[in-house]
Amino acid sequence: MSRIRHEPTWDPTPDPALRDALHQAVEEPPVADVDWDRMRDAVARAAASRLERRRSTGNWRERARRWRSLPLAMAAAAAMAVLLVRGPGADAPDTAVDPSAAASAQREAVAELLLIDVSDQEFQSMVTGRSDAASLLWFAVSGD
Amino acid sequence: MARPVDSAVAQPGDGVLVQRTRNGDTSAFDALVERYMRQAFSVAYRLMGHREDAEDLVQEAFLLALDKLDLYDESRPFKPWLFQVLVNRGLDLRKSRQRKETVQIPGDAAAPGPSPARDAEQSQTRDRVRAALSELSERDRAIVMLFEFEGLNSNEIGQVVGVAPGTVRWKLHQARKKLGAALATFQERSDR
Repeated sequence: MSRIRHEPTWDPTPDPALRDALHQAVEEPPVADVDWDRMRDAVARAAASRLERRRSTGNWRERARRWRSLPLAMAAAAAMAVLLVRGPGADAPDTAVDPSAAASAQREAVAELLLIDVSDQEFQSMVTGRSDAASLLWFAVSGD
Repeated sequence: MARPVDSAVAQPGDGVLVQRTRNGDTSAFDALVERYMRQAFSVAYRLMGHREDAEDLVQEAFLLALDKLDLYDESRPFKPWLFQVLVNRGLDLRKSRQRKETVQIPGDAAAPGPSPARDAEQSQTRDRVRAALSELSERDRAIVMLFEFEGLNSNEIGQVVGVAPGTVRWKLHQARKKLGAALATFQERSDR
């Protein structure tokens, strides 16, 4: 889990020799052989019923799409409200664990998560999948 | 049914077309298809190695994208999202077919060289680079193709293959080392 690697912070600069070799090795797509009209028609034909469905359910879909993000917005608003009421310096919930040790462990866990090779979605899922989400949120908003 | 798009007329942005497509606007969807089908075909061909497979994949990807359009986050660019749908589907197809050939790098079989010696040299270079490419995973090869041939940057590629941009840069770095080593070995042999 503690794989450490030094990822470059910028994209590689073009290497003409390598690019030339790749172009020699890999054939260019035969775009001239493709019947684009046929492809366009095939896609349009297959999409027609889907688009028709969208026309008939357009408003519902749009509403559902907007509502999907509502729980996240409500959670964020609730967290902000708790912060405003209790203040950022307020004590964390009572636990038997030393708060500074817990915060340090959480910081290390997050640092490890940042180092491993996962996509954004995987990262989010790993973070939200934690059982101790409340204290992670506390750690995120209070920084201690 | 086909409607060629007049390039002289200013076209609406992807966001507008996506919004209209969400509401079932056929012309907006056609415009998206027209805008991206050629580049989508290039990516698909490099992934699949066969023209017919690539054409099928492009069609399938546009329909899948239409089905999933409500999941698309409008704050991000559309092209990498579309290519993500295409690449994921292409990788799934390749996996499910379990072709005997471990790698199908589209080859340039019919291109004659200017001279037999030069032809032989080019042929050896091709073989070496193909061998080096075949050692990469499907996903890593897609990363190299998207960077070297399609001109996507690490952020866009990250969206396409579902990894962080830093990981894309790392994988590009590693792939280039392998490919560069293959070329260097070949050049050393040629110099002897």
